[in-house]
Parts: sequence; C-alpha cells; structure tokens
Amino acid sequence: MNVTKKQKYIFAVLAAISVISLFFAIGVGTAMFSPMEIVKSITMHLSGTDYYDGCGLSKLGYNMIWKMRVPRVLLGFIVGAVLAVCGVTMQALVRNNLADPFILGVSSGASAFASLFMVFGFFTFFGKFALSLSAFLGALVSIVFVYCISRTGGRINIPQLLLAGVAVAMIMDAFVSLINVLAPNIFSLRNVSFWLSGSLAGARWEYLTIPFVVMIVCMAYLMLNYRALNALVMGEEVASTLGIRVSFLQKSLVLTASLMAGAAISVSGSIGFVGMMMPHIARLLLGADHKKILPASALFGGTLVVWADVASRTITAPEEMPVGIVTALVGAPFFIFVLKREASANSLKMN
Amino acid sequence: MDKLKVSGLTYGYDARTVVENIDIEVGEGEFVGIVGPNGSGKSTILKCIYGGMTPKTGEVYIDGTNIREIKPKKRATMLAAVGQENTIPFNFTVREIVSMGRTPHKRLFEPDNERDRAIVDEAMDKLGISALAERSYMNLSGGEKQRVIIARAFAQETELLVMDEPTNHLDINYQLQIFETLKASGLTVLAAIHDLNLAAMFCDRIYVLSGKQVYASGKTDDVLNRELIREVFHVKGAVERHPLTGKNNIIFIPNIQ
Repeated sequence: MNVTKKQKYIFAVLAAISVISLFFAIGVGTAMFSPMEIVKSITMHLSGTDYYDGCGLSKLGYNMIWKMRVPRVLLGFIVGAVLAVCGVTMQALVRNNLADPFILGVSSGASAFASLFMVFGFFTFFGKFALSLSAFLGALVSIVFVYCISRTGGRINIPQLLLAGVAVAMIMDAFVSLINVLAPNIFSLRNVSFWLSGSLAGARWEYLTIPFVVMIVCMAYLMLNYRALNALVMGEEVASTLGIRVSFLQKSLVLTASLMAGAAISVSGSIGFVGMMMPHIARLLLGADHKKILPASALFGGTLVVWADVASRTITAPEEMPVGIVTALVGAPFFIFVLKREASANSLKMN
Repeated sequence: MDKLKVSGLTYGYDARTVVENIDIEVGEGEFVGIVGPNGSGKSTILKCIYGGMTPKTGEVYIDGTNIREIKPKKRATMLAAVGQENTIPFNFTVREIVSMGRTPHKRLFEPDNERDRAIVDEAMDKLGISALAERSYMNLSGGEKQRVIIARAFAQETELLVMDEPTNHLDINYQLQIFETLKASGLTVLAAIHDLNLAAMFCDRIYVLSGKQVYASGKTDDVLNRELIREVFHVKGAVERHPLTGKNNIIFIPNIQ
C-alpha cells in the first residue's frame, strides 16, 4: 500500500496546481494584481520593509493584497481542505461515499448552534473560541443524531442515513431562520445567508488560526490512523478481527469530523458538497487507500473552494454571490450523478 | 494444549437462545468442521470466537489464554477470520485489501516494508490471485473476491483460522482449490461447512449442531453416518467409502424416485 511513482507525480501536480491557484485567486478581483506584485507585497511584509519605499506597489495595493486578499484566499483554502477531510472522515465512518457535512445536516447543526449561542451569549467566557465551540457542539449533536437514526442492527442503512440528514438539516435551518427573524441585528456580517450558503467575504487574518490548528491536529490524527480507517471501511466485524478497537475509533472519528465541521463553518458558513465531491475525485485518481486520499482530498478541497470564491466575487461583480451557491451549482448535479450510479450498480448486483 | 478451546458457550438475545452450552476443542494443526442445518447456529458460534459477537456465558481460549484477556491487536496476530459478509464500498485494489492483513503487525503510520510485501505476494500466490493484484476488488467475480478475503487472512500470519462457509456460492473447482490450499497450509482451521461431502473430504474432525447444541462430534468418518443424516438433516442418505478419493461419500436419496 505504498505510494507508487505515478502517485507521487499526481501529488506533485496537485501541489503545483494548488500553489498556482492561490496566486491566481489573490490577484483576481475588482482590482487586479500581477503575481510579481503579490510576491512583492508578501516579501515586503515578511522583511518588514515599508510599503511606500518606491518599489512599484502603492500603499492601497499592499493593504488590499496583504490585509484582504491573502487572508481570504488562505481561509478559503483551509476551509476547503478541512471540509474535504471532514467528508473523508464521515464517509469512512458510515462506509458510504455520499456522506458530507452539508448533505447530512452537520453544517446546518453547526450554523444553528453557532447563531443560537451567539444570540443568548453562551460561551462568551471562551472569548474568541466561543463561536467555534458552539459550531463544534452543533456539528457533534447532528452527527450523533444522524448516525444513531441510520444505524440499525449494527449497520448503516443508506436511505435512512440520507433522510435523517435531510430531516436534521431542515430542523437546524429552520432554527437559523427563526433566530434571524427574532434577533436580526445580532450580527452585522453573519446574517442568515452566511449560515445557509456560506461566504468568505470579510475574512481577516485572525479568522485563520482556529481552522488552521484544527486542520493540522485532525489531519495528523487521521494520517496516523490511516490503516484503521482502511480497516473500518471493510466493515466493523472485519476491522475488529484486524485488531482495531472499533467503537473507540468510531467515537474518535465522530469527534474529529465535528471539530473540523465546526471550525470550518464558524468562519465560512455552510459551503456544501466539497466534502462529498473531493474524496470521490481523489479516489478516482489514487484508489481508496486513506494514506493517499486524506492529503489528496485536502489539496483538492482547498483548490476547489479557492476557485469557487473567485467565481463568487467575479461573476456577479461588483455584487458578491455566496460561495456556497457556487459549490452547490457544481456539487448538487455531482451528487445526483453519484447517487444514480450507485443505484444502477446496486441493481446490477441484485440481478 | 488445545489451539482453540470453547467451553460452555451460550448465545442469545432477549428470551431467545441461539446456541446453548457449546464445547469445542481444536488441536494444533487440525482441520475441524462445524456442520448443521440452516439456522443451527454455526455462524453464531464462529462470531463469538472471532469477536463479532459477545457470548452470554462461556469462555473462549486461544493457546490457553482467555480471549477476554487478549488485547484486540494481539488477538489479530493469533486468530484470523473469514466471515460471510464482505462487501467493500470503495475501490480498493486486490493488493491493498490483502495488505490490510498486515494491519495488526504495524504501528501507527508505519509503512509496509519489504517483508510485508513478500508476505502479501506469497498470500496472493497461494490463492492464485497474483495476476489480479492491481485490479479493483469491486469488479471481481464472487470466487475471486472470496480468494482475496482468504488471502488477507493468510497475510495476517496467524496460526489459527476461523472461517464461516469459506466456499459458499463458489464453483466446484474453487471449492476444492480453496480447501486444498487450506489443508496444505498446515494451519489450524475451524470452519463452518455447508456441504457435507466437502466436510467428509477435508475435515479431520467435525462437530454436528442440532437443536441449539452439539448433537455429535468426533472423527468425521465416525460421525457422518446414515442415522445422523436422517436425524439431523431429515433426509435419507447412504454413506460409502469412495474408491477414487478414499474418503466417505454421502449420497442423498430423494423420496420420489
């Protein structure tokens, strides 16, 4: 199960595409910047040189690049990577490639708890962690709920899983709308459309810390346990004969997925379908081994959200379209395609 | 000392008892079969041994140690299991699945080394699936899939194999091939077997289940006789030694001729 030469090549190409996408996305917008200007702005900041010492970049340009574009694009990348890895985790947990934090109502749960707790001011003593913590709890409650409803006789029932996800999403989305009606002025930026369809507008450097730390910690945990994830996909019984402590692993995956979903959603709202599509594409290219799927999905997810964000702020410029609408426009047809293909594969097996 | 010992095993849920007071012993290197009609509890007993179910009462010992006292990872290096349910939802290759047999031997994040690869190659070779190594498991036939799962158990490098109808639904050539491979491996095997003639051909000893209990047990040739087949399986039969195989052969006689 080691990485072949061809797979190393795929990873190199993926990494290169990610970096190019980052540069491109920083440069594109209502004001355009060349890659040279971006590099200059970054080196200026890192070296502590003054921006106005006449190297071709205005103070305004520097500020736009360093204080607005760079954090926004990086946040998009991190959120995309976290959502994709969250998708991989949930898919291993329920042994089905349709699982996704958005489809299974986890995003909605995180949004609802986050907005609810903000209204009532819970967790304020956690300071800047309050929002992420609320979102994490919402994600956790939703995952546990959906998982328990769809598990019958030790197995996950797929139609029940999807329906439970729909039900949880409906309840939680209703809460978000209700809170918005009752307390519309609680947030200036985070309004109902932020929670329901996601946005990276207004990203600042300080938003990056929590998602970044969560990404590193969760990714490390998952990568260390890639064999256990592979074994779990074989089924609970097989995993246990391979020496895996199945119920401990499942609980830790629920926690990991909730942490990731909470961290991403508290800073970006619900950006849907990334967690479902990216592992799928990664598996098409690299097979199903989690040692490869985890990092590949992270790169794919990051790149996708960066591009979706570029689309969201250029297509309808000068107005911004929520980035979740862009991912839904791509993701929903993809979801239907996979669902149809699964159904026809299953009917083939039965005949 | 017995390689595997089951004593007083009872399993049931709610008020229903599935199996009651089962004693099974399997010596080092023995090939032992469990036969019995549908629903007699063959799978239940095996699952209680390999950890798919927890028995209500009774104990299971491997090499004299109670399995309750063996850590899961350690147990997976002593006992490998082949169950009946082997659907795999993602497109793993054959090699990847067989390599999973190495899981209990590896630490966190430790990659496969030369030795692991050699063991995996050898397991695939034994089951005749080397040519399929890079193929996707999802696209294989039933017989090929079953051989992949058995190869994974081989790659686990345990001395004891517990198998639940390992050749169910397979073509006759695969049935014979798989049993021959198992027999030649010299491993200790406890297998539930549906086909009485296969059991007669390969098992050193068998346990016959009926009415939730062990109805009879002992040397295969002594146990599988006409009376037992009538009592347990409710069919008329004749048992005779076949000159070509040198093994007992069971012929079933239909009521309408």
